[in-house]
Amino acid sequence: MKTIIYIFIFLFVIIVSVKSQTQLPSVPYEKTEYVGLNPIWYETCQDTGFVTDKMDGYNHFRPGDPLPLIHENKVFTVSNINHSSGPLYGSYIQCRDIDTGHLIWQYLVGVKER
Amino acid sequence: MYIDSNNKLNVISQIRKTPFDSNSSPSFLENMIIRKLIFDPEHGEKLFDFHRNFDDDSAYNTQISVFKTAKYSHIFKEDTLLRYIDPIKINDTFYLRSVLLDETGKKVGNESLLKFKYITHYFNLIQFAPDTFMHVEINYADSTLLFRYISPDLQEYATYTTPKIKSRPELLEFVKLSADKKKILFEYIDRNDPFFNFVELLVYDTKANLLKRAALDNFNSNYFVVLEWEKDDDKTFTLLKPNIVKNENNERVSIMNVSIYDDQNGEFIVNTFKSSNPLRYSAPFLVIPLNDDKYFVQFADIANTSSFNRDPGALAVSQMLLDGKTLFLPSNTEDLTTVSSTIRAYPNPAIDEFTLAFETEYTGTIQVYSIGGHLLLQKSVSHTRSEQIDIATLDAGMYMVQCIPSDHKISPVTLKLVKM
Repeated sequence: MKTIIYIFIFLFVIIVSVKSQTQLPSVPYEKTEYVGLNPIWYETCQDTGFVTDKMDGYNHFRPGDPLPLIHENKVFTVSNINHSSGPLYGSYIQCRDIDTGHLIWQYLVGVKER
Repeated sequence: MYIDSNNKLNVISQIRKTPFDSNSSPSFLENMIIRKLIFDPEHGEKLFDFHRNFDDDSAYNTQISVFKTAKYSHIFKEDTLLRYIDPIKINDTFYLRSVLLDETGKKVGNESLLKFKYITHYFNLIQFAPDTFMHVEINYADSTLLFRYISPDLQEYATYTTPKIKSRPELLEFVKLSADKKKILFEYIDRNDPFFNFVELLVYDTKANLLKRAALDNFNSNYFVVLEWEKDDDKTFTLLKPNIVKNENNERVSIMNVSIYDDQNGEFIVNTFKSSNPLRYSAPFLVIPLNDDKYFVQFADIANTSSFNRDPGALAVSQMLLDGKTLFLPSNTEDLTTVSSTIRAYPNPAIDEFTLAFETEYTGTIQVYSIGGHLLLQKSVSHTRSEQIDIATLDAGMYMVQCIPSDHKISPVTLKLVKM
């Protein structure tokens, strides 16, 4: 019985994983607010240049491999583009103010460099 | 990523060649192009962009594919050069390979090879110093890990073997090296188990001695970050982890817990933060502690369409800066009391000691936690109605006293104690 449950869950994860690459969210993105957590700042990776019938400007971001680098009050991060989102490959390099979360600059590298 | 001597941001990555050799892993050296980008860190202006193949000039013109660091290889900065280390298979035998590259990715000198003593599952290569690496291999026959200290050109310095590992050693994955580089955190997650029934954290010293462990039974998630684990003489791990629970009306509630685990007592929940939208939750995947008791946390924002159905198109990558005081100060501190129906602490405030009075005979553990959630004192008692606890060594302030009965017939009781 446990094996059957595992198989169903495995299939569910596969289906969700595949579908996650092909559609907009059911409701527009909003931040997850945890009552009492009170983050000093909370920022979401966004590129409004990638708003299509599949992408909402948020859901093509994926965690990048390099560890973030913190240097002189800045945090540098790398996020990959979900390469199944379409003919888009590449990564975002972002620089934020570590104290405020303010996005100082963002650079998209990859096939579709701009 | 690193900042160079000219204060420029260097980003080094590997790009998969297309087409690549399908007989080999797409992440091996032969199928990758090194790419190095240099930015002005202040304004993001791209100053240089090197990408070429160091064996085949024609690869320069191949289509660029996914920009990422290959999972099965590592690139390290070595003075002005780059050190590339990966595992390769030659005639059914695995070797570590080390190659020195110039900043454009061109190979400099010869390759070095070091034969594996044992096979590995994850490629765990840890850099301790510019001239010292450790490669972790698995001895399946003995259920142990082998720590192999090697130079950049793969000369072996020393080896150490861990004690026998109770769980499956091949699923131990290197997570982090402590700031003092004396402790190594590994985590065990069976990613083929959809329920993540058993997650384990282990910390070894550099000579492969096990310093501490915690088993996270019935964990139900592979998303968590370890906030605290490095402190000497502290056998606990502090985790930030999401969870989905049901409230009294059987409705879904998304929460984020700050929990302390140790090998003896399991989980102690310091704090629970509830999502204002029960269908939205965050899955943390990376944390960097900062010097001023703050934590930089990256996580995936996820949404469900209903209690059980995930919204397939809803996923975002976010980051937060969290204050340790908010994380560790129990949000329900005001609700904690100095007196429960079964246990009383007096005097409170206390000076050098206090007494716990039990309504009925008590057998179990008494723990004193700082308000930051760190276990400071622990005492096991048996068949007592009254127990004196010496707190002379503690600083003035507020503490949490937790009593965990060994028979589990009643729930643990947490009291608030003030030391003057």
